[in-house]
Amino acid sequence: MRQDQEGFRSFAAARLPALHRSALFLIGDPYLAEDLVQEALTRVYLVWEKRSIDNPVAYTHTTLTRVFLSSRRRRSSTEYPVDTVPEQAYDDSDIAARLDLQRALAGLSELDRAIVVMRYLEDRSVEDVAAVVGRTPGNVRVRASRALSKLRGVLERHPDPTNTAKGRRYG
Amino acid sequence: MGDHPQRREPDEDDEAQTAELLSVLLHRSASTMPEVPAGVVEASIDAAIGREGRRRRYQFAVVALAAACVGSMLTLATVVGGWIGDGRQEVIAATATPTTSNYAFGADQHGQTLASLLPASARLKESTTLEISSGITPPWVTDLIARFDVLDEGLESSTSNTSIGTVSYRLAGERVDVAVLVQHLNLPAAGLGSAEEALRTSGLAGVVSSTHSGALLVQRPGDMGPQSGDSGTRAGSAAATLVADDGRVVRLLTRDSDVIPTDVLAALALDGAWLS
Repeated sequence: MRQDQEGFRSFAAARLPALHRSALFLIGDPYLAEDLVQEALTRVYLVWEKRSIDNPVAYTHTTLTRVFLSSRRRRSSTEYPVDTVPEQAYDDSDIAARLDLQRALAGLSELDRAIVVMRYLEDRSVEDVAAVVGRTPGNVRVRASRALSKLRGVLERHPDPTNTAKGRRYG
Repeated sequence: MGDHPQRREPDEDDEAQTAELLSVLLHRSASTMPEVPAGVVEASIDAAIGREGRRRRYQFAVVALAAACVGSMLTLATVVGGWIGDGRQEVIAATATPTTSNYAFGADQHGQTLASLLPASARLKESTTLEISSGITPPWVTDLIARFDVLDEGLESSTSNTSIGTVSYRLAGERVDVAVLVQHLNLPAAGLGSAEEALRTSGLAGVVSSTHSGALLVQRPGDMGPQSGDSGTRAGSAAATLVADDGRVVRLLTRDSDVIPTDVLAALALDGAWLS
């Protein structure tokens, strides 16, 4: 069944916050993140108007990640412009935690960052992530494990105030 | 020992806990992010519409160029058609058309036509041999057909007289294959524009262009979504489909659009030899 423009508009509006979250953790800069989301939605819409998409949420996040990885490969510079995140008050511990986390993510390779975002923000399976990034599940596990080790410091600096590390969310 | 096969090692427990903490921190941090402007959605739609328009214009230009190349090659082949010097193999003039009613094809009827078309692509100039076969459907052809939804979606419900074959040749020592399907489509209302309408309503993704022969649908790897492109160095599969206004359908499919670019597929699909 063909899905129309209005349907896409509703879908995209509903997914926008989650897509932007993923994009910002991937690319660091909020304006570049907007560009990334827009490019991903553009590509999804080109397919959307031609045929139905079985799982639009997963498809859109997959497109976002692939656009990120391919665009990063094309760039000569691989800097993660975390210092350009909007200036906000640092007295909020969650904001401080985000900026610290973004800086820590900046220390990872683009591929590892994508794996971290998909695994621990979008809560996607290892097999799913492996299919998106074109690696084996085993390789994804190893990379995720190494990334966790590198991010351990930021986790210690910003412990969960509720002390209940349960209940992952997706979206 | 073997009593607790599911028991995790301390390191694994530690890693799982770290993963949970990271997940919580990611979501906690995400809640502080600035809101993304809702205009991004509209901008995406506008960008997609603009991009589609540019692709259509580009595709039209490519098809026009390809058609011009085909015309030139057909003219040239017609002029030079005749006997090969050794006298053992007859060369069929490029203007020859199939005589069978179900549009079956073979080397005798179309070999020279395709051989004259292939040099139109700079990438195919090193081709040394050419084979055309029909009556056998190799697994890779079946796979391509499934990937492009040829037989289970869109046009198939009203097609008949399907002929499937392959065009194979050597390029820099490597065998290159193109799948070819020739079918007849029972259009609800035959006439000018009916083929294009059939393609547009078929659900097949791709760029549709109007040509002198009918509607031409070109499907690049990206048209089939992220899953269709191969992750390695190869560009992925692509297809060109010509639906003539009288209902004849010609489909050419390749596994690797790096080797067989879509403009060459389009040129081959526009070859008049497929349509008697």
